[in-house]
Amino acid sequence: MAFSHAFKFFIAIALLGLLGSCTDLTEVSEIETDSSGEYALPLVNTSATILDIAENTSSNASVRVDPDGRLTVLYSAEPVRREARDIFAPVEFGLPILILDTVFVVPLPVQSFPADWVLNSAVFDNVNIRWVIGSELQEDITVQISIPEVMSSGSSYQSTFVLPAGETFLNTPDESLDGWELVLQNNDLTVEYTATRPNGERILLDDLVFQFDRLDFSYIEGFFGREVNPVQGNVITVGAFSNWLSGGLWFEEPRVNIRVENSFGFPTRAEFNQIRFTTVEDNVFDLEGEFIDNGVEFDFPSLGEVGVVKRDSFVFTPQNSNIQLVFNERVARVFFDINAIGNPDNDPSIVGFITNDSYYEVFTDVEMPLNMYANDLLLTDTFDLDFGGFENIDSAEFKLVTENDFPFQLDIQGYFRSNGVTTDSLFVNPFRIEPGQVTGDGTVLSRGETTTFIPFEPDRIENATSADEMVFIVSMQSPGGEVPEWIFDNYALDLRLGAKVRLAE
Amino acid sequence: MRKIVWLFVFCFCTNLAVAQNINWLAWDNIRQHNPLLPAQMKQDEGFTLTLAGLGFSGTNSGPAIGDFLLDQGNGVFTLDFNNVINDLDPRNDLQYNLDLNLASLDLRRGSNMFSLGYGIRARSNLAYSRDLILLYEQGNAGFIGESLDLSHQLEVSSFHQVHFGYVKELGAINLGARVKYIAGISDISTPRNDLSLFTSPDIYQLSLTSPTGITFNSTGGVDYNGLDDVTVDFDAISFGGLTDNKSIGLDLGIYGKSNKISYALSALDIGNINWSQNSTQYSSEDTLLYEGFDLLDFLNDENDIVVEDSLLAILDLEERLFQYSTGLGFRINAMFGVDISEVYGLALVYSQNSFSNSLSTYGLINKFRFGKQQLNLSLSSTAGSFNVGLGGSFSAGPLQIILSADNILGVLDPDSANYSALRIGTSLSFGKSAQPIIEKSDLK
Repeated sequence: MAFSHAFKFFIAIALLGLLGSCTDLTEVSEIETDSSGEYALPLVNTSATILDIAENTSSNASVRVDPDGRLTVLYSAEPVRREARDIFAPVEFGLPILILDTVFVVPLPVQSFPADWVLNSAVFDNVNIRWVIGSELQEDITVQISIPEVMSSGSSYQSTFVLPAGETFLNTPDESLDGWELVLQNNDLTVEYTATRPNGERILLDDLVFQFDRLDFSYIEGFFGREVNPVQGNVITVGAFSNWLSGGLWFEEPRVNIRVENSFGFPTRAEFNQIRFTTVEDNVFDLEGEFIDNGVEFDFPSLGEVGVVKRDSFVFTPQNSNIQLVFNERVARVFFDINAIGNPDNDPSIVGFITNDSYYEVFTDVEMPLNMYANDLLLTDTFDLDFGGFENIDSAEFKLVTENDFPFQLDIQGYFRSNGVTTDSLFVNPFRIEPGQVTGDGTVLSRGETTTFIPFEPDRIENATSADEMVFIVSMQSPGGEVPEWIFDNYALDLRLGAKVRLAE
Repeated sequence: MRKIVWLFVFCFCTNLAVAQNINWLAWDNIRQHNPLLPAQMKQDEGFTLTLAGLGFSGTNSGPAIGDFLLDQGNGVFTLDFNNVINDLDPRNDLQYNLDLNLASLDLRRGSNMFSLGYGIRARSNLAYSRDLILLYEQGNAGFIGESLDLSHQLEVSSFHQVHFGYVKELGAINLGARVKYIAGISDISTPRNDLSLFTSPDIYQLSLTSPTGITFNSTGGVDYNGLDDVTVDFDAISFGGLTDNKSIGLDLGIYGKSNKISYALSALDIGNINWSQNSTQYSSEDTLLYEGFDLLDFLNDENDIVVEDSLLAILDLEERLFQYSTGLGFRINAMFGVDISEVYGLALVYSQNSFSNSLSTYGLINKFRFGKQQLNLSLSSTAGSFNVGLGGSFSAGPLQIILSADNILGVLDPDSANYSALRIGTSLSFGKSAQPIIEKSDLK
């Protein structure tokens, strides 16, 4: 064991001179050290508050401390986020559009928009336009093209090209439309051109084709129709009951919080299809209440608030839902299924906007204010053990010291198991951790202090060191009965374990 | 751990060594330079070639090694201090020295004597506390709420030594000095590490406290990769590296003889060895506190909780390149002799070293002279043990052999002795015959 190794090394260094005077050293083939001493060493020294535990675990739990020190545990789901790109993806626009007349109207080709959309204005983002001009005439043809709906600084798009004599086609270079504004009526584009021979005669081109390399906007204003986006159900693991065996733990005022961040500039409604609680016994309870029945509207930025992120939240409380009853049925998981509906009333008169940075994000968490009591709660957990390297222990005596601020009485028992068979128990009788004496404002009047010695004589040590797992059973009881008490951030449970270990000769 | 211990045993089985050799403070007819008395003039004129000489001694103030290194047979020994715990002092000292004089040449011309010689010396000195042994033997469980004194000091080293000596006879007084070129071979040493271990009565939290931290130095002898991975490769005897770890040492002495009275005083091994080749220092924090592991650290960690790893991490030592020096092993010797008759004389001797006062030696040497031969019977006390020693100086033609043992029982059974010292010197002299050991006129 390391403790004796360290000491033995130290002592061996010190003793090396002693060995020098042995006349029989030439006969020495092996020096055996006497390791039969009894060594005392600390094993565990932990002082844990609720905050310490939360900081050192990677679960989805976090702890909120109120100004007066009261604690609330939050179990959070993975946020659900939808961005503008998810809803209105850029159109990689490969197909050319043929212009058949000197004034020609074509619909804006944005197939990903909702069916009943109306685009009032938009700003191109990373878009290029190019033209193909064709004529069989063997002379220079000058072509002036304009698109009145594409504007920049008050002027509409205009370009002039010359198809030289002897050429039947002209492919123009890409022209960037970044920052150009698109102002539409009825979602249509109008292409106008004049083609002029050197003598001034206007002609109709044999071919005029234009092409956007892609179609994307940094800002769109208009009406985008009624759009349903499911916020897929997520599972929240509520660990308080994950190792439940029997009994109960009552939380006063549990809540489910739904917080929304939204920078889409149109109305969105959350419809709660389902918020379902599953207990440790796999019983299922659906949350009921006003929000479930009617849904809730997200706040959204107005046309004058482009770029503003609106935050809104909806809380299911015992006052507006049946959460108190449902939650204290030993909830292990919470499942939610929400539809986020854009323009829920499908009213075309409501003009909204989207920027390419627009998003909404839904945060869902279960909030457990630690105002609670325990009623014969029994929890269990199993840990794998490996006592490799401890074969040299002849006997041991553990000393366990606990100091408890929490207003709970705990009884702990551990069972050593080998190949599924219980070989021994850690304590002869369950080890009791006395509750702390506290006041309503979190002042600890006295800590529940308990010290016990746990001997493992040679006949029992084998039962422990041969175990491959240990099953702990913890009983938790509020000494004040069914009266909730707040847990404060200064409450700690100190657990210290030391051992005297006698090594076998 | 056994490997480490065995390695140390292996290292030391070749270099059990010197120290006092008090009989060498009382030779009257010596025909070579006296390694313990730099001012003693050899008796005969001309050259003396000193052949291979060997001196070694082992001294300890605690129990004899045979009382705790128990022979289990078939070469297996067990370190077991149970039967000697009560024999340990609060502080215990051990010293083992080897002085291997390979060759030297002495020349006396009238009142001047010169000597030049080469040899190798190796030594191991250890000071350890009784509590250290208690901890090893009984563990710390019996000392909860108490501090154990684990203070210790260690010095294991070997070095080349080339000496040039000069003795000048000034009437009845000789003055002598030896300048020594030192080249260190290997060293493992600690300063005095004042160290205490406190075991808390709470849950046995451990506090190792040292005012300056635990420190040990090594010159190529230790490969340390943590407490659970240490290898030792200590070369006590090596004929290479004559220019490594260079230093200068000095021996000084006075020797006088007048009628029936003779006296001598010497200070040996003045100086330090500077260790600079591959010299490394390992050191710890001044306070090492081990309180057990915090379960919170493992809440989000799938690794197993290993007590061994956490304990070793606390006790880990920091390694750095570090030049340091160790003393040569300063000693003083004193002798006062009276010749009672032509045949018989007495000498009171005293020897003390710098490492431990507790290992000083007091002695009375009875000298019996038979022509050119001398026989010594010594009675002495070292480290609290009473010793009877024998020595003889035998001359035949140019050959002189000097042989002495300060503790006869220690030579016959060193495992049971606290003090054991043996020195052999052989020389060939080429010059005028030696003077009689003592003139009859001196006794008048």
